[in-house]
Amino acid sequence: MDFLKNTGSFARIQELNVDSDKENIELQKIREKLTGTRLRLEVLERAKARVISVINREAERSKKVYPMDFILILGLAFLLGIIVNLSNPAGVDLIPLTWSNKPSSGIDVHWAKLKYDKESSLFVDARPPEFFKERHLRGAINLPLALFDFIYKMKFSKLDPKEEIIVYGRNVSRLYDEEVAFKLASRGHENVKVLLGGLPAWEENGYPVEP
Amino acid sequence: MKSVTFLKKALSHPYLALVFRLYIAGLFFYASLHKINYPVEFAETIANYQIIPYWGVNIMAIVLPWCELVCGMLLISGIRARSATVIIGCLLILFTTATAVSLVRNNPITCGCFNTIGERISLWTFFRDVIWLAMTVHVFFFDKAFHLKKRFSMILKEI
Repeated sequence: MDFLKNTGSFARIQELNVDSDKENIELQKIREKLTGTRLRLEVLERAKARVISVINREAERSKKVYPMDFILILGLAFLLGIIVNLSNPAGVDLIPLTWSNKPSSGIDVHWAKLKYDKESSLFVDARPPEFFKERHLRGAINLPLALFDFIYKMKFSKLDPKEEIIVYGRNVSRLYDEEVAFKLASRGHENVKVLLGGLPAWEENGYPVEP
Repeated sequence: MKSVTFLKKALSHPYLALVFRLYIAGLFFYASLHKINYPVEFAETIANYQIIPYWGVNIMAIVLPWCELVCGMLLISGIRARSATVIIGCLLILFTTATAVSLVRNNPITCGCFNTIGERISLWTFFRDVIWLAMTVHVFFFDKAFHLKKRFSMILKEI
């Protein structure tokens, strides 16, 4: 009798053990799931914080001024300018023409005064008309670069190519005298000289200017 | 007291800075167009100021208008707007100085800002440049509207 009871209890204990094992396995699974979810949540929180910090950084960036911006903007402007200028038929020369032209010979201001007194050479003012009107060498002819062809036809075409021409008129931004002297030389005038020191040197020595 | 505070608020309002910003940007964009198309005449204008040495005149005549164009476009779109504002401010300081020097020297030249054949520079040209410079400084300090930054803060609120 006891033996049967014991067998029955033993079988019952076995059953309970199996049930509790099953429950343990299920609990284990649930625990693993929870841990996995917690880890995922942590990763997502970190990702969110990262995204917020990136956006904040970008927002701050638009307020800032970087030296690289200046380099980029100026570089882009430089590049565009050069490219458009190269393809523009009415473009400007990047390297000054006076560097590649043959330089004209110069004449000292005192020599020039002697020639002026003898009236043996023609004096040409190469500056734009506004500057010519303000002050020029007495007896000089205005031959600005812009109106070169026009005035040349009017006044210079009948000139003897051997006659001496003294050109003056430069400032820090434009070597008008060199450029006009070169143009005159390329029209066949053999005796073109540039006044050394220009109008300032002429005036310093008290030589005649008008008006 | 109240009127002073109101005036202060009105003067530092971002919408005023926006108006200045669009005005300066449009001005520079429009001014650069003629100069890009006629570089030879612009080079003459620069040479008339008698400040830049002869080897730099042509290079400046090419680069400056494009610089104005690029900065004008950046200011309008709001991309890198602050750097563009700084560059435009530097350009305006350069123009103001050049105008002042020419006025002191009594140089009979045209401003050359928009076209080659304009009227002679006068005190009004100088003050006009100073006003534009003041607008640019205002834009640098107070401009907040319609920038990419606002988009960012709206995105932030969603997150």
